[in-house]
Amino acid sequence: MKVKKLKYGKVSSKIIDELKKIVGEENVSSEKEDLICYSRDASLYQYLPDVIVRPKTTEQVSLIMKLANKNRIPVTPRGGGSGAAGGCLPLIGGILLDMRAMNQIISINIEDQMTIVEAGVIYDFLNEKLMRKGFFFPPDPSSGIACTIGGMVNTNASGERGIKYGSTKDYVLWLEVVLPSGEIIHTGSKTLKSVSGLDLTRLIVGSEGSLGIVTKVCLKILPVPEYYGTAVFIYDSINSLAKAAAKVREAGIIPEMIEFMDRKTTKLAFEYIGIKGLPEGNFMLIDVGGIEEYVTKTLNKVFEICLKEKPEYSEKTFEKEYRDKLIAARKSALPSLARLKPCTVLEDCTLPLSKLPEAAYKIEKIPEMLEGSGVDLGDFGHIGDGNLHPTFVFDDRIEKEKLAFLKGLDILYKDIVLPLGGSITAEHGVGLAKAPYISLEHGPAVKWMRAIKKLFDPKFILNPGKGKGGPYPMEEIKIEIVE
Amino acid sequence: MKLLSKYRIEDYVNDAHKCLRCGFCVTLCPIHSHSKWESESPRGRMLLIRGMLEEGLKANSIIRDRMFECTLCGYCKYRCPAGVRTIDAYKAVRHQFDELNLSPEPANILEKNLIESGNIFNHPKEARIEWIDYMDLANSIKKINKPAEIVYFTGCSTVLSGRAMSIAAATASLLNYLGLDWTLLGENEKCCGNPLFLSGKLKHVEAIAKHNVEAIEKLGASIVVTSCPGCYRVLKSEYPEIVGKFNFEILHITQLLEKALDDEKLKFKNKIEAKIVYHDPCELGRLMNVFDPPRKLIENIPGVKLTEFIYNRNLAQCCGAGGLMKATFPSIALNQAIVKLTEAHEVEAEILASACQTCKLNMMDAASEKNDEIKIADVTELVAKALGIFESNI
Repeated sequence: MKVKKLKYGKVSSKIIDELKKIVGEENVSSEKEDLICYSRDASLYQYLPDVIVRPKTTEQVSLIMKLANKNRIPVTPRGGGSGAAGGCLPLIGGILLDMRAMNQIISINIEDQMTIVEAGVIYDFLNEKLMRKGFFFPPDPSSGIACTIGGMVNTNASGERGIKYGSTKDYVLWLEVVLPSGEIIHTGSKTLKSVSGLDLTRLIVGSEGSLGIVTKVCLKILPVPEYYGTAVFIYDSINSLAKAAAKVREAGIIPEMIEFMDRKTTKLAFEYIGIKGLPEGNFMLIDVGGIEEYVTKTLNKVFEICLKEKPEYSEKTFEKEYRDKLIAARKSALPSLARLKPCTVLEDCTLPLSKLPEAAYKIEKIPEMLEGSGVDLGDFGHIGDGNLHPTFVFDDRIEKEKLAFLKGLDILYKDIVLPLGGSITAEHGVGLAKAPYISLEHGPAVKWMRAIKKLFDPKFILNPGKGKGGPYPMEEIKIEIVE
Repeated sequence: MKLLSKYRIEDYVNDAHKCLRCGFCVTLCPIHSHSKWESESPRGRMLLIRGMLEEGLKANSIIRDRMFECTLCGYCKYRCPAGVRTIDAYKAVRHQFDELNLSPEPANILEKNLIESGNIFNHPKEARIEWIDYMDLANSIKKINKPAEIVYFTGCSTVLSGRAMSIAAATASLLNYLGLDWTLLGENEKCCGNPLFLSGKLKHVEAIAKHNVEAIEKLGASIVVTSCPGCYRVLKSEYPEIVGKFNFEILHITQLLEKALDDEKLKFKNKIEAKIVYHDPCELGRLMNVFDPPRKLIENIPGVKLTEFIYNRNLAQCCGAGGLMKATFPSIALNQAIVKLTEAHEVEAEILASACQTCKLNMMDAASEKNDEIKIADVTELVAKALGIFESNI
C-alpha cells in the first residue's frame, strides 16, 4: 500500500481567537459538550471537531476559509445534520462550520418563478412560505423538517416526489459559493434558462461540501397541483408489486409518487399508525396530482393496470384527510422499523426499473444470509424511480451484530445493487458510508473526480476524507497535525 | 418509591442509542430555535446523555444548564420517529444533578419555598385564599375546606402570583353558574409538587402527594377540577404512581365546561366579536391530550372566529415558560413568548387565548416587553364573560 502524507494545521488558541474576531465570541465553541453534540449525524459514525463556528454572512465564511486555507485547517460544513452517510462529520477534526445561522429567505418571486435563500434555511420552512402563495420547491426529503437547503444542494436530495419532479439539481438556477481559498464565486444565472458557461452549478450540486461552501441558492419553484387522487394496493408478492409499478410507468403515466413498503415494514407501519383490517402483504401507494379531470382519469387507468397484477387489496380516494392518512402510513416506515432495535441504519440505492423485482426479492433475503446474527432488515422506498431504502436494525453495542451489519452492507451493494446495474446512492450521498463502494461503481472516473477536487481544493482542507472528494482511503494517508 | 425508577439515568441508555439523530426534534424545539446551538436541542441533549453514560462525560455546570434549558414541552418526544423518551431522560439527568447538589439555584429556592410554606412563592399559607377578597368574591364562595362534590384545586401561581387571580375568579364564577356543590381546599391546599417533578427533586414529592390526596378525600369529593395544566398533569399522571388509585376524578376546567356545553347548560349572553387564536399549553395538550375542549368552548362563544397557529395541537410550540424555564432562564422564556405573539399577529388574531395561568403570565410579560396591545386571555375568562358573569376588559 502506497502511503501518502498530508499535513494539517492545529486549531490553536490563536486560531480560535481569530475565528472569534470573524464571527463573534458567541458563535464559536470548543467546549467538549458542544463538540460531542456535533460529532454525529444520522449515520453510525462519530468524529469530534476541534471547534464549531457559526457564520452569519458569506463574508464571514470567506474570512474563515482564508484563515483555514492559510493554516491548512480542515473545514467541514454542516446543515441540519440529518444526513445518513456521515457527510458532515469532521473526519480529522478541525473547524466544523454550522451553517444554520444563515437562515434568511431573501426573496420569493412568483413573477420570476424563483426564490433566493441562504444555505441554512430549513426545507419545510421554505415550502410552508411558498405554499401560502400556491407554489413549492418540489424535492421532498423525508427529513424536510430538519434538513437545510444547503444540505439538499450538497447531497442533491430528492424524495417521494422524485418520480415526477426530479431532484434538487433540477431546481438550482444559481449558487453563491465560497471556495477553499476564500474566493466568493457565483455560478449559473438567476434565470430559468442559461447555457452561458461550463455548468459549475451542476458540479457543485451533489458535491457534498468537497468543492466549496454553498452560502446562497436561487431555486426554481413550481405551482402546487390543485387536485390529488391516491390509490393503495397490497400485493402478496413483491414481484407483482414491482411489475405493477413498472407497467404504470410503461403506460406513460407520471404520478406524484409511487411508494412501497415490503411485507415486514407494512405490518409494522400499520400497527404503528393503527390501520386495521387490511390484509398482510407488500404495500404500494400511487398518488396522482393535477387538474381534477386529469387526476380522475389517470387514477382510473392506474387502477386498471395494477389490478391486472392481482393485488390482495385495492382502494382509491380523493379525500384529503384519507389521502394524508395513507401517505402517513408510508411515511411511518422508518419510525416503525426504528422501534425494533437500538440502532437503525437507513440505506439508499437505486436500480433500473426492470431490475426492481429481482433486487427487492434479493434484498428481502439479506437477513437470512446473516442468519443468527440478530440483524434484521425492512425495505421501503420510492419504487417509481427505482430508489429503495433497505433499512438495517440491530444493536450496535454487540460486536457480532455490528459485523453482521457491515457484511449485510457488502451483500447489498456488492452482490445486489452493482451487479444489477444500480447505483450505491440515489439521494443520501456518498459521505463516509458509501466511500468503500464508489470506485466499484465509477471505476477510473473516480480519478477525475479527485482531480476536480484537487483543482478546487489543492490543500484538501474542505471536508477531507469523504468518498466523493477525498483524500481517500484514509488508511493510505498519513495525517500529520502540525503547530 | 416506584416513581424513582423513572428518574434513573441508566434506564435511558437504550433511548440514547435509539436516537436516530435525524433532527426531526431539533427545528421546532422552542429552545433550539433561539440559540441554534446543537447542545441546546433535544438531539444534542440525548448525545450528552449518551456521553455521560458511555463516554465518560462528567456532570458539570454546562451539562446542567443544557438539561435545564428545556421547557419539557414534549415536542421532541412526540416528534421522535424512534420513540425516544426524551423529556423523561432529561428529568432523570436533572434528578442526578439534584443528588449531586448541583441543581440550579432557582430550582433550589422553589424547593425550599415549597417545603417551608407549601407554595412556590413562600407566602404564608393563609395567603392562598386572599384572592377571594382581592377579587371581591367573599359572598360567592360558599365553601372552603368543607365537604363537597367537587374540589377546585387552584394551584400556586393562579392565586398567589398576584396577576392571574382573574382565572380563579372566572373559574369560581363558572362553578357557581353551573350550580355545582364545590369547595376550595383553602389553606389546606399545598403546591401539587410540579416544580419538584420538573427539577427531579423527589425527596418531598411523596409527602406532598399524600397530603393533597388525603385533604381531598377527607372532603368526600368525587371530582377535582383545576384551571392549571401543571396541577392537572401532576394530579392525574404523577400522583397515582405515588399513592396508588384514589377515589376521585381529575378534570381540567375546560373538560368540565365542555360537558356543560354539551348538556346545553351554558347560555351565552354576550358576544365577543374577535378573531381568537388558541395556544395549546404543553401540559394540557401534547402531554395530556386535551386539545378539543378549549377550542370547542371558544368557538361556541357568539361572535368569535377561532383561528389556529401554524403549528398547533401536537405540533404546538411552548410559550417558553414550561419546565421551570420562567424561573431558571427567564430571558429565554420571555423571548419565546415574544415569538408566540408574533405568530399570533401572523394569523391576524386579536385575542391570544390559552388555558393556563403560566402561559398567560409569560405572554403578558412578552406583550409588556414589546408594547404589544394584543389581548391575552384564559378560556375561563372568555367563557365567563360571554355568559355575563364576569367583568373583564377583553
